[in-house]
Amino acid sequence: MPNELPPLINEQRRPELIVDTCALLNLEAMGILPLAVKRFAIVTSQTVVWELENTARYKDYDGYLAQRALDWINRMEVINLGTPPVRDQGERDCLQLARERKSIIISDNLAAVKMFDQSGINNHFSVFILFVLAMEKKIPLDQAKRALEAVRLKRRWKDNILYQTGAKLLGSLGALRQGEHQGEKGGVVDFDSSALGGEK
Amino acid sequence: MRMEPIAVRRKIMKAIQISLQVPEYTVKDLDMIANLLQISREQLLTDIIEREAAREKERLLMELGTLYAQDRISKADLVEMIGEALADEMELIKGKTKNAWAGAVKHAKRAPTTDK
Repeated sequence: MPNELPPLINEQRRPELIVDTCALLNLEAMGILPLAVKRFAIVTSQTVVWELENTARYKDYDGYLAQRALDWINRMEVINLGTPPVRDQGERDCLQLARERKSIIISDNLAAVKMFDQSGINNHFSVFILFVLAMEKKIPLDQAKRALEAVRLKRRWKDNILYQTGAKLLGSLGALRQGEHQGEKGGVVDFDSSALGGEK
Repeated sequence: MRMEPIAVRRKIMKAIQISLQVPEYTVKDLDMIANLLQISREQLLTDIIEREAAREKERLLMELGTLYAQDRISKADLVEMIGEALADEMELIKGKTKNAWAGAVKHAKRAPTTDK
C-alpha cells in the first residue's frame, strides 16, 4: 500500500528525486544517468525539458549532454505545471514539485540551491546519486572516481571543489572497503569512520 | 542555464577607465594585431585584458579551491585572499558535497531497491 511506505518511496519502491536541468547535464557528463533512472524515480518539470531542448540546439559540449539527457526523458516522469518557458523557471518548478511531493531536489545550480535552502527544501548536488551508486556497489569505486573527474574536466573552479571534496570522500569509502577486506583476513583496520558521516 | 556571452555582459556591466604604461614594442605588436583584425587598439586591449583576467582568475580559484577542499587552508584564509563572497561560495560547495555524502550514507542504508 503506497500510503504505508516512507515518504521517499513511490509506488515502484524507488526513491523519488526531483531533478533540474544542470543536474541532468552533470549526471550525463558523469555517465550515470542510465543508472540513475534505474535506481531512482526521476521526476522533472516540462520547463526543464524545454531548457534541455533549448541547450541541445547549441553545438557545444553542453548541447551534446542535453541531447543525450533528452534521450532518457521517457524514463522519467515529466510534469507540466503550466508555467511559461522562461529563464530559471525550471528551478522554480522543481521547488514547487518538491513541496507538493515532499521529495528531495537534485540540483547543481548554486543560485537555485541557495533558494531551496532558504525555502527549507531538502536538496543535494547530483553527486548524491553517484555516492549512493558507489556505496551500494552498483558502480565500481574507480568508475565513480572517473565519473567525478568528468565533472571537473568539463566545468569550472566550482566543479573543482566539488570534485576534490568528493574524491576525498570516495577515497575514504575505498579505505573502508580495504579495511573490511583486511579485517576479514585478520589485519588491522585503520580508517577514520567520521569521514562516512559527512558534515560534522 | 547558460552564461551570457561576453558581448551581452559588456552591455550590462559598467566600464571603468584605467591608465597603463605599456612597453613600446608591445604597442607596436598591438597596433599590428589591431590592424590585422580591423579593430581599434583600445578594443583589442579590452578583449585581451578581459580574456586573460578571466583565465587567470579561473586558474587561481582552481588552485585555491583544491587547497580548501583538501583542508590545507581555512575559510578565513580564503576570505583574506579573495574576499567574503567567493569564500562563501567555496564553503557552500564543499559543505553541500559533504551533505550529499551524508545523505547518501543514510539513503544507501535505508532505501530498498528492486534493481538487483
